[in-house]
Amino acid sequence: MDNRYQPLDPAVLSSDEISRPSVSYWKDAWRRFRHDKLAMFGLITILIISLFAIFGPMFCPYGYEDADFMNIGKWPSAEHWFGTDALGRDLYVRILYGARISLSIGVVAALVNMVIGVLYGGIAGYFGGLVDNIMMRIVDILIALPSLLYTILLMMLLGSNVRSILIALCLSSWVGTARITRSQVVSLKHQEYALAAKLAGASDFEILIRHLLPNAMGPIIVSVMFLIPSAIFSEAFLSFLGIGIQEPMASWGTLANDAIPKLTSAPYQMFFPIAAISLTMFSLNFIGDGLRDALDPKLKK
Amino acid sequence: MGKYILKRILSGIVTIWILITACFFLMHSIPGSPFSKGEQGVPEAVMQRLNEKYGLDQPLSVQYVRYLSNILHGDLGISYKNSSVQVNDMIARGFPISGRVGLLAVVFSLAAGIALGITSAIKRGSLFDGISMVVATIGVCVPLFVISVLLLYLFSGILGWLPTYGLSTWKHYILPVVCLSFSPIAYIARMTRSSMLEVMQQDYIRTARAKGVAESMVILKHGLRNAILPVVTYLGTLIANLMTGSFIVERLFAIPGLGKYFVDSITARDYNIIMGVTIFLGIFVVICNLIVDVTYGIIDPRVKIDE
Repeated sequence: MDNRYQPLDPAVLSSDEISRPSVSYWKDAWRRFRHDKLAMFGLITILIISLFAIFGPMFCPYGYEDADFMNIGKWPSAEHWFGTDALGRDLYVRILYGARISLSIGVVAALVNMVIGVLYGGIAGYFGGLVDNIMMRIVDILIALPSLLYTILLMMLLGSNVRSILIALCLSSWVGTARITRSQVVSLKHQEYALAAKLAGASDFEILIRHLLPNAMGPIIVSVMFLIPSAIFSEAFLSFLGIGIQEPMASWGTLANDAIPKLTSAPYQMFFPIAAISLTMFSLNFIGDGLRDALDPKLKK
Repeated sequence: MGKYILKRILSGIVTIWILITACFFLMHSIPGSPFSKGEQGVPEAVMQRLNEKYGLDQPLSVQYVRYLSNILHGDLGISYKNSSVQVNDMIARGFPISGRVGLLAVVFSLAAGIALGITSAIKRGSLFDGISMVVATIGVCVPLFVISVLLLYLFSGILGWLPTYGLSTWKHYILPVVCLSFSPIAYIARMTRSSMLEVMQQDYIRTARAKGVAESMVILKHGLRNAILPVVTYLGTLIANLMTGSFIVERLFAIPGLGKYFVDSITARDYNIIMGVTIFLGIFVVICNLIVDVTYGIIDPRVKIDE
């Protein structure tokens, strides 16, 4: 008898089935991110600061512009946790309002920059040729000068308030994202799935938005993440020079600026704003580093 | 090489031209004449005389061409607030001071950053490496004005070792230069460390060691020479950073440099000075970047710059 044609053992048949659900890119990244202690520390700190910024003022008996002339320049106490400033305003609540301004400027500027930069870089990279050449020459020209110069010029035109800082920051710092997106799209556009989408009748725009950009998202998110601290830094820089947020509104940069003349007699007025901004910058940079390692494992040193 | 340099010079000129144009039209789209604000009740006749004197009654295009040709002749105009102040004189007075502080900061950042980076790379994993990388992280994350304020408070306020303002003796230079260099040192140290770690694993380092070259020679001549290249590319950014940094440091330490004049004129809304100084700074940055890029092409023949 010929027993060469016996049915296979069913266990062997199923052995090359994938036993566990495949881990997606984002899940994999989250797993790597979670094991990064510094990045998790940064994330938790930022969450706590955001919670305080959103809900803190509600539980505070003072407003950010309530001057109390009986309590001028008081050191930190149970009543005024961070003390009061030269007009008797509670520093704790002013720092919370500063957190609102700084964090929202950081997030909004980063998101707008992402949209502008991704579209600009995506279009330049996808269409290539003359379009790419012209668009990237413009970027080269813009990037040749420090973006703070443009920001200051725009602030002159728009006036000193939160809205104009936002507009100025949004218009001046998308070039980095545009460059990264372009290089990603250039390297992805000749992949087979882009060709397949084209053969299936997808328009250029659809290919760019639905197929190329999602695959280029890792490095883009990392660069956008680093835009948040740099936007917060720019706002603090401008406010510290006295050309950013104006009284009676408070931002961390303004508060630090106000505290300069009294540095020796009332150092707490300087300490709390700069502690707040340093903690935020540390946390955001740690998150950025963690994201880079998680989303772009090739870059990890 | 020649073609590359020519291309870079052309693109630099276009950058400057765009900056001048942007400055000009931004400043002229600000509502009101430069003289309408400030002292109230300038008589009509005086306004007219002032506008005539500065050509503000001409059409915008005429003013633009005039401004461009003035700049080509090296004249950046005069202050609108105080007509005895020329922007050129202001730059001539402020730039040498800022330049001296800036140059000291460049030298100090490079020396300290490279030294820290090499030492950390060689003693990788040691306590020194750990501490210097923590300091480098602080330098990268914490804004310049925070560091300046802290150092000012510590060394002038509490310890009283160093003067707080002005530039009359060598002691006055210490704090501004250290503040300006803090974050560049951090960047340079990180960069040198990582590129040094990479270079020290190359075959030619092993060959040098096998030949019996002294370890210090291996590190300085074979290692550092190759590890230094990324630092050169950072120089352009460094100069731009020091420039914007000087706005803060010169204001904080009351140094009568260009950065302080610039910030003062922003607060005073003296548009002609803002424009003039911005254009001057722009030209300065573009020229520095050009020099850095060309130098990089010369010292690293592997870089193909013609593409």
